[in-house]
Amino acid sequence: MIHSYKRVGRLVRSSVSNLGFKQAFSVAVALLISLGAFAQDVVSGKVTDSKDGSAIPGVSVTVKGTTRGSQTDINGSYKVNAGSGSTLVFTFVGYAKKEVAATGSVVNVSLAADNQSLEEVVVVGYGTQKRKEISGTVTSLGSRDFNPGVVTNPLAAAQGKVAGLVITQASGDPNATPTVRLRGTGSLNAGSEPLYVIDGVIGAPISNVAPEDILSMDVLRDASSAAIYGSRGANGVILINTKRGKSGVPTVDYSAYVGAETISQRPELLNASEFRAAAAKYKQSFDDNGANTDWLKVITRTAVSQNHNVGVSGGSENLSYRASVGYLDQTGTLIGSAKDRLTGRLNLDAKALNGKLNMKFNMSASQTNGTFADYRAVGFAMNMRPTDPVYAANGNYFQLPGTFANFNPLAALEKKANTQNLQDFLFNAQAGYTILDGLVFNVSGTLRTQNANNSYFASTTPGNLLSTVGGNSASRSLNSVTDKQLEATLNWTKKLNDVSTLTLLGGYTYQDVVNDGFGASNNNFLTDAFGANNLGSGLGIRSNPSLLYSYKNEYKLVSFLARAQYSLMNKYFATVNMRRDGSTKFGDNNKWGLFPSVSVGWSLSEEAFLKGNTTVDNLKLRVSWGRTGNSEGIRPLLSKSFYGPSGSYYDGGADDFLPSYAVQSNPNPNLKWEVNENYGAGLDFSILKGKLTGSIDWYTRQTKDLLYTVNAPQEKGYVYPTILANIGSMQNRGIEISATYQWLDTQDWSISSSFAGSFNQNELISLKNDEFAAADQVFLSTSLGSYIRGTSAVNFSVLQAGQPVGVFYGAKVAKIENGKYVFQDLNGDGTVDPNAKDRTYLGNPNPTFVGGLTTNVRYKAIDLQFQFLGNAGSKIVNTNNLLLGRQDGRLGESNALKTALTSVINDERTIPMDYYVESGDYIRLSNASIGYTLPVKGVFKRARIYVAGNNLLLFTNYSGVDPEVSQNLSIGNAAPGIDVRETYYKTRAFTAGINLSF
Amino acid sequence: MKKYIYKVLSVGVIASLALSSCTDLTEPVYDSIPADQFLKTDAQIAAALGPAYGGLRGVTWDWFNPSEASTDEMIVPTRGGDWYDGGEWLAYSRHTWTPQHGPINGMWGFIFGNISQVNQLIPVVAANQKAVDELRAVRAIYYFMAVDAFGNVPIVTDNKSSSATKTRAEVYAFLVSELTAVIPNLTTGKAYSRMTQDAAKALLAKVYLNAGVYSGTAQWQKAYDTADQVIKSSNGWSLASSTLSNFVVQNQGSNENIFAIPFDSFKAGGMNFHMRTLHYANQQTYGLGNSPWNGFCTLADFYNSFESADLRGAMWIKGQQYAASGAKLKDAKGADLAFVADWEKDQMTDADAVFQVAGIRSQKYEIQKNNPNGDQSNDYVFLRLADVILMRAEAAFRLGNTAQALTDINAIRTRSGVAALTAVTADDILAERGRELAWEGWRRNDLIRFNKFSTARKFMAVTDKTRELFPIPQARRDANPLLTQNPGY
Repeated sequence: MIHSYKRVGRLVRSSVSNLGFKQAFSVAVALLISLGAFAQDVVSGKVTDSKDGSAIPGVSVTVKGTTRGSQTDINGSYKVNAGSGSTLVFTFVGYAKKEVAATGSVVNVSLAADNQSLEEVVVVGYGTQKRKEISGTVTSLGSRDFNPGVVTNPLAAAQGKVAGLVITQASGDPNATPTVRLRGTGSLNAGSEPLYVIDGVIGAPISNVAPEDILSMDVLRDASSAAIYGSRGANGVILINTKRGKSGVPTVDYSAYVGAETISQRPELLNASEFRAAAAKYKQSFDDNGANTDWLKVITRTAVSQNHNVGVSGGSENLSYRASVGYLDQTGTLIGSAKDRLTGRLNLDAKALNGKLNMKFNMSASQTNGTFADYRAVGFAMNMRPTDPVYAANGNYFQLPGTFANFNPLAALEKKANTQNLQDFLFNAQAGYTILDGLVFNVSGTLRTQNANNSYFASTTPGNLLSTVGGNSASRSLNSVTDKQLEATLNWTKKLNDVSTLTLLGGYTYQDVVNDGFGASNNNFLTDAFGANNLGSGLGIRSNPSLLYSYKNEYKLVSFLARAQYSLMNKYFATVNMRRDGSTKFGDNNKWGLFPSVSVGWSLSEEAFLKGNTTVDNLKLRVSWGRTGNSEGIRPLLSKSFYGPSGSYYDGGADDFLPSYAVQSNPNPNLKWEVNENYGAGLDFSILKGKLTGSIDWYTRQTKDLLYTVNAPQEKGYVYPTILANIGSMQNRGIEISATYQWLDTQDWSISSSFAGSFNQNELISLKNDEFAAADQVFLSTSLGSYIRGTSAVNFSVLQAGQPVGVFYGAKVAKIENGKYVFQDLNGDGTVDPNAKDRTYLGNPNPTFVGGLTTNVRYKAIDLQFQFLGNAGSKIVNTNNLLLGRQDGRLGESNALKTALTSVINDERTIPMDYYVESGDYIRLSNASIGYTLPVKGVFKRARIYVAGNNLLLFTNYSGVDPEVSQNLSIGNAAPGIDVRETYYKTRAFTAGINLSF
Repeated sequence: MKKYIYKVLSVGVIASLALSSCTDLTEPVYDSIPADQFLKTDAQIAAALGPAYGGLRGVTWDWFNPSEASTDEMIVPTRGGDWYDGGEWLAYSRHTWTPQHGPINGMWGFIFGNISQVNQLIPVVAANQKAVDELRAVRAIYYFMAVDAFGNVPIVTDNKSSSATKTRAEVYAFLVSELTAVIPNLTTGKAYSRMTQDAAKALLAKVYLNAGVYSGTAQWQKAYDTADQVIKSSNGWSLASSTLSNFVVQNQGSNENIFAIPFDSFKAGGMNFHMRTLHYANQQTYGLGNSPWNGFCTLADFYNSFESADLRGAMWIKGQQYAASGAKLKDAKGADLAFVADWEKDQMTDADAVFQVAGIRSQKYEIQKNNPNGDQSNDYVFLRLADVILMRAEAAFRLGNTAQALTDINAIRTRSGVAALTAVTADDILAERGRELAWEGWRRNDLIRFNKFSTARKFMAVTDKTRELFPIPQARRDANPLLTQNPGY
């Protein structure tokens, strides 16, 4: 009876929430109090922090063994109906649970902050495990650990926080996603991104999750933990759990910030007067149009962004909820780039059948509108002479006619519209039924759909001859993904005897992913007025019928999984994982793969020789072996011969070109997943009552059956020059260190620093198997930048067995003589051949060390956080210096770096050489924030205001723009460490924000 | 306990229902069709045969570039930072290519990828011998290129063939046997862009003409006879009024072009010689949608081999350049844009005044005005009557029949307004072939046959005879250890 009234009370509260929370709250409190008056035994009291005695609002108070409960108010006070002799249970996030017998009508309780992270429950994939029982390598990150500032992607929020998780943000584009590598680059063609699992759903897009909605991220770093994800676990697994509701008074969380971003670093180009001086110095004539234009400034701006997130959570004993809505509106510093994102999420938890049936419903929807700028404009801005104006006298964009590369960059940005509307919808239902004590059957079903609606329009630009066929052109496309997942697991936990527990898991999963879409383009429209909204009106399709397409493909993954966890005397722990994956994408000869793993843990601190030791609180040794797979890089339909349209042929009868058909790729019936074999050992420690905690891990990670698009011997019957095959192997070895030190922890002060760093060494071991072999030295074709001379076939990066992936290779400069490079005769044969014989390794683009140091300071209500990120051992090719840093004989035509005025180089050969390979070491003050928690009044539970900054300081010897260069490896397009000149420069951001709870 | 058993059982039933939903891993297919379900209708077979001919479009890059850039007809000089491309163009003109040379590897892929394509198609039409033989004739084009460029290559006719290297003489013998075997079965009439009897015979004449180079034994009589058959064919091939009229944008009507490879600005790309040769600013001369690349040009000595009266000289673009409006074109620095015939360095820096304007450019293929695309619609002329006539002249000359040689050469000369010769030497024939067939992809083949390929010329010292064969690309040898390298590499 009372419960139902309570619910009414809450409903009233939420329905009147529009009136104002204060009013609503008083109504609710009044209702609760009046309801409480009916009860016979009322226990009340106050809950305080054991350390400083401050009141703790929001503590959940339940009567043990019943479903009755309450929550503390803003003053830490509570009232609950409890019979005498009952036990009250007090729980609150971050505090140790406390049980107190209700001996009188007033029970005051103080809760101690929970430093015992060992009891913490960690999500390990298809289940959870207590931190202390984990024998694999798992790092957990809570939302409070996230980086502050303009952080719109959950990965960016975790940068520098997890040892071994290397997150590179080379771009300032709001639409760009960071590159993520866990324990080095493990693949060439199959992708090196970890697998993301959000609330148990595999492969959901992480970039569309608002960081505010995330409760925790658990990073499965080693193969023994990731093996439960089988053929997709090779690059590690990141499990994300979003916030969920708890029974109790509804809580509203609101957070918002506004931010302003500017380019943090840019190339220093000649201004107009310097340009004139340089032209005179190098005797170059040019048409001086008398302007003084800073072209990079013309195409960039101060970008303002705002972010809002509202979450409401609460619930009753049997049904709790959390719903949230987030809105992000971000402009980009490069004109024409922007992003806005609307996210909605509803998580429901329901209990039924006396708590035997536990259900979870997770729904999320997001809509992201991306507006993409043409990065080539950055290159154009560097090409343009500063003496040329932005606009011609007639008001049109100024444009040199018949130019090779001097296109007006502002026109390139403003005359193009490239947008994407991305909609994601996810519905997931999970049910767990406790069949009998310790035996739980779980079933989970997911439907996820994603629709990307792309639109592109390039308008007619008079005087600008930037390649637009037929003056103007437009295209539209709609690409959709439908992902269905079903999981069924049976979990059995059995306490075997007083000292040992066994947990068994068995399961089956099924995933079906359909990709389909269509698109059309056209050009030569009579007017620009339609944009991309009236494709049929263009003339282009009359002469080119191939402007239409559609596609559809599907793959299925079927898996059986099993796990056994054993714990003995709280000292010895072992986990065995096994997964068998079958995929439609694999070749007929390799449909199924088996992915086992074993790990053991030994809590040394529980042994007699350490038990009670005052220095060492916890010491645990972990050893693991595991095998995972990587199949993400395999497109469907590569294992067999399939006919499809391929080009055109001339048909004499029709006197026209008709579509011809051919087998679409060289079929590979042996195609299968990459195998990732991982050995690791680690030590977790906690010293001096938790003052210093951390872990050290050692690992070796070997990728076998490496997927690579290898040259196919065409004289052996292969139509196409390449075939995707499992050849070769690669190895990453490293050490990871994480440590947190609590400098000071008093009532007023708290200072702690956390370090997360990793050393990694990558080596490509082989690129051949019995059937196929890559060339001994594979040059990775990389674009140094388009629309500038001397950039084609200048390939610094190679793949070669025995070397790290993408190692730089080229000639060595002995000296500069009369402005010319004099190269070393490296092979000593008397002739200098910098293009072939006299070349050597010039440096490793992969960092050997990456780390982050985060310091948190709290003084009373003021909190301060700052984070340094460091990177050491990587090399960078400074493309701008190579192309624009010399005494430029083409100076009359295009601009150059300021250093061109004093450069000793007068040689435009752009061959790969050590002269432009620089150290990429840096330390960055990546973010800092200072916040103030206001004394709360009225309905507020918590209020905090803060200011934050991102990318505040950079210490580096790198002479280019920014040493955080893209680590993306995309065979044929991009190689790590090449500082491509058309880069969306990183930004510096300042934000002011507020977090409110009531 | 019984209750629990029921519970366990019911869950077990639910679980097994879920499990039975799928362990079937047959790959679903939607937008393509499994190979064994295609080729059921004539239209499907026709479409599948398309790539056999469609693949030939690679000829404009993979056959043309190595065949011209390595000769005195064409050079791709380094222009400041432009066209250096890791030295691969200079390697062509200096004959310093190595087994690592990227474009030569590309040429191998073009040849053998297409051979594999044809080999895959032959069983498809096995029931139709005429279709099989036409495919073999198409394949013979690729084997001709293979024997000419690489010499010692595998002979692969199906997926079971050994991919081991055969000698150049063996490849030559195979090529002759293939062509002679299929010719009787090919279409006797005209069929544009198809391997007809005449097209195959013109190719066979070319093969015989080079028999000495390929096999060590010349076959002048066979070359003469085969060329003669084409010239006297009942199809009545005739010389066009002017050489250049065979290369206009809509050149499919030419009665001189015996075998052409069709291109279309939109539907069949790759005809982009104008992009390779024109200066960026020439975009305004022709109203092009794209700015050209300012690369390929000819050498002064070759350019000067054209008499001023020679109508074929109209193929060259020289001197001051103008916009369509008539305004003088300027380079990016504001200087007048005028091409110069002669210059001093094949590797020019930005400091060299002529670096952008060095070299006379070609418009042998008429430049398609106001073309929004980078590709043009001219069909590539692979074999034409004038070539066959000059082949007969050369064979006649080698057989001692000077009169016939003179008649044939003069037929070509007079069409272009230059005086008839009264006496003829081997050099005359080579020079005439140069002028008539300039920038048609035959110069390397001709120079080698006349033993002039390695002769010193501007920007190149005497080179070794082994340069007459390209190296087997290292990447191919890495992938197929049965390939042996050509001598000298």
